[in-house]
Amino acid sequence: MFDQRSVRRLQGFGGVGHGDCYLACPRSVEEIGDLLRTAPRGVVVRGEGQSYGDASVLSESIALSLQEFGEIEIDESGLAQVDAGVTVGRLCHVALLHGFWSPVVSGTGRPSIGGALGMNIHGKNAFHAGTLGEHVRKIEVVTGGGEHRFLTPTEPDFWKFVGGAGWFGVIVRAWIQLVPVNSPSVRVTAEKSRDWAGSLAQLSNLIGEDYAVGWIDVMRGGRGVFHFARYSDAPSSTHAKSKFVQATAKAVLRSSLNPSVLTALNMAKYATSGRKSVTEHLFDFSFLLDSIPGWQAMYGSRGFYQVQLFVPAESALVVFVEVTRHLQRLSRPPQLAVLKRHRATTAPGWALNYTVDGFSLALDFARNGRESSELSPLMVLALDAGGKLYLAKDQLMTPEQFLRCLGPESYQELRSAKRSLDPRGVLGSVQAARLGIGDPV
Amino acid sequence: MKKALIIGASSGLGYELARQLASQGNKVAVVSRNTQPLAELKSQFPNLVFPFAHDVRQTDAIPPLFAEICRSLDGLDLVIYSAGVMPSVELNEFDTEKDTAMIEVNVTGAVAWLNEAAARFHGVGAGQIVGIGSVAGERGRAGQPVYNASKAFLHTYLEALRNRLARRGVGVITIKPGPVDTPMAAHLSLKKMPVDVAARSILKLLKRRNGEFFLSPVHAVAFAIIRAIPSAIFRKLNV
Repeated sequence: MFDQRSVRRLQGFGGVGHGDCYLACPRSVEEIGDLLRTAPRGVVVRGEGQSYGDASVLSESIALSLQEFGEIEIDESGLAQVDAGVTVGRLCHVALLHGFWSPVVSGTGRPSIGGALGMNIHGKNAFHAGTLGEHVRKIEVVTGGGEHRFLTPTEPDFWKFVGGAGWFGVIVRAWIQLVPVNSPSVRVTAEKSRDWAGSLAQLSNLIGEDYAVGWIDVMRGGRGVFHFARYSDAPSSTHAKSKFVQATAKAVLRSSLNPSVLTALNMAKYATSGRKSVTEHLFDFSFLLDSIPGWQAMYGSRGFYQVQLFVPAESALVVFVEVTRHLQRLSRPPQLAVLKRHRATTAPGWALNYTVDGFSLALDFARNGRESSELSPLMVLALDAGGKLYLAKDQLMTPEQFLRCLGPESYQELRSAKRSLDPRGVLGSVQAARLGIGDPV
Repeated sequence: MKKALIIGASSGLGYELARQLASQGNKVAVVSRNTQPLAELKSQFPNLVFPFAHDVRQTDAIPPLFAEICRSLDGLDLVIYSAGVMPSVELNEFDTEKDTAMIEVNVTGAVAWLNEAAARFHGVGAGQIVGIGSVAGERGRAGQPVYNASKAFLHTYLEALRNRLARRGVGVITIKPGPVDTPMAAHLSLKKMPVDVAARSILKLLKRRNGEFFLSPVHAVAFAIIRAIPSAIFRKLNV
C-alpha cells in the first residue's frame, strides 16, 4: 500500500516546522479507498504543500498525494473537469488556450486543485466571486472511510470536502465553471491611499472591477498602493517579467529585510506608485511572485508565518488601526501586508467557512520565535470583532480560538461529520491535532 | 530535541551514549537483546527512553521494527550502530562458527540496520548515521583476524555511505575508539578510556557531521604511522 522506504521530509509553504512522511501516490480511486480503509497509521492529504502552515504535514504518517491524477478536460461552455493533482497554474494555462480563465486563483499558481478546493481558496476577486468552491458544480471524492462518492453543492457533505481541509476525505476530481476571457490580459490601474480609512475606502466601491488588491504599509498608518484590474480585449503583453526585473527583485528579496530596510522599501514603493494604467498578462498579474524564483528567501532560513485576519466591514477600521498600534509597539513590521475585500459566502452549509462581508488583511512575518505571544493578539482582535481565521494560513490558532471562529454548533457538526465520514479517524494533520479534531498517529 | 536510535545499547558505549543523550533531553530508542539494562534506562528517563528487544542477527525483523521505532519517536534524526562482539580468540584458533557469529553482529547487523537508516535519511534529505568502528580495523593483526576484518568492513561501508549520502545532506561519522573501559574489553590488559569520557567525545563529534575520528590525538598519530608500515615489516612487529 505504501513503501516503507519512501520517506520524505514535508513542510508547509512558510517553511516553519516539518514532518517526515511516507509518500503514497495511488493511481485510482480504488487504490485511494483501499489505502484509507487499511492504512496502518495516520494519513495526511497532501497536494502541492502550498498551505502556509501545518495543514498538510503529519509526522510519521502516510502522505497521500494525488500527483498521478493530472487530467483536464474543458467543454465549449467552459465547464472544466479537473483532476485534483492539476495545479492552479496549469489549469489557467490550459483554460486560456480555450478562451477561459479560472473563476478564482491563488496568489501563486502552485497549489493543486485538490488543495485549493480543500482549503476553498479565494483570490483578488473575492469581493464578487467569493471562493473557488462556489464555482464548482460537482466533485468526485473518497471519504475517510474509503467510500467513493459524487457530490454537488446542494448536498451538505459537499462542504465537508470543499473547504474541509482534508479532514473528512479526499477530493479526486472537480467540475469547475470557468469564466470566458477575450484575451489573456488585464488593464491594471494603480491608486494610492493615505491611511487606513482611505485604504478601506479604496476597496469599498468596486463596481466594474474584476480584481482589486491593496499593498499596505501597516507601520505608517495603513497607507497603501492599490491595484484594480479589469479583463481587457487588448492583445497580450509579454508573459513573465524580464530577466533584469527578476534578477533585481531576487537581489532585493534575498537581502536582509530588517525593519529599517522594510521601512525604506515601503516608502520607496509608496513614493514611486501613482495613478497609472498598464496592460498586464493575466499570469503576471495573478501570480506575481511566481516570476521571482526563491522569493521566500527574504524571510531567512527559519521560515515565516502569515496571519490573515478576516474582519466584518463595520469593524475593519477599528481593528486594523489597532493592528498598526500593536505592531508599532513591537517594532515588528510585516514583510508583506495585503488588503482584500470579501463578500459573504453563498455556501450556507460550509462548516469551516472563513469568509465575511468585509475585509481581510494578510500579514507576513519572518519567524523570530515569539509568534505565539506577538501575533496571537492580532488574531484575538479579529475574533473579538466577529471575524474569522483561515486554515490555509494558520499555524498559530488555539483550540479555543478555533471554537470561537466556528461557533459551538458548527464545531459539534464538524466532530459529528468526522465520526461519520472518517470512522477510523485515519485522516489528520498537525493542524487538525492542534485544533482538537483528531490525531491519527 | 533530537530523536535518536541506538542499536546495541545494553552495555558499554551504546548504553552510555543513550544515557547521556537522554540526560540532555533527547528522545532515544534503545535496541538490544538484553532488555534488563534497557529497562533501567527507561526507569531513569521514563519519557525519553523507548526500549525495544531485538537480536541484530534477526535481519528480517529489522524493517518493521525500524518503522515502529520511527513512529514511537515521531521522527528520527540520529542512528548509532554500537552493537558489536569481540570474543577472545586463541592464536591457533580458527573457529568458523565463532567467526560467523561475529560477522553476523558486527557486519550483517550493521548493514541491515544502517541500510534502513540510509534509505530513510536519503529520502528525507537530513539525518546522521554514526558507526562505532575500532582502531582494530586499521590493520589485520594476528590476534583477531575476523574482528579486525569486521571493523575494517564497517569503516569502508561507512565511508561509502558517507560519499553516497553527503550530497543529500546526510552526515555519516565513523568512530574508531581505542580500548574503552567496557565489558567487551574487560579481558584486555591495556590502558582504557573511561566509557563516559568516550561517549562524551563521540557526542561532541556529532557537530562535525561527517568524517572518521579517533577518540584520542595519540591514536590518530599512532595509527597514521601504523597504517603506513609496509605489510612485510608489520608482520614482524608486535603492535
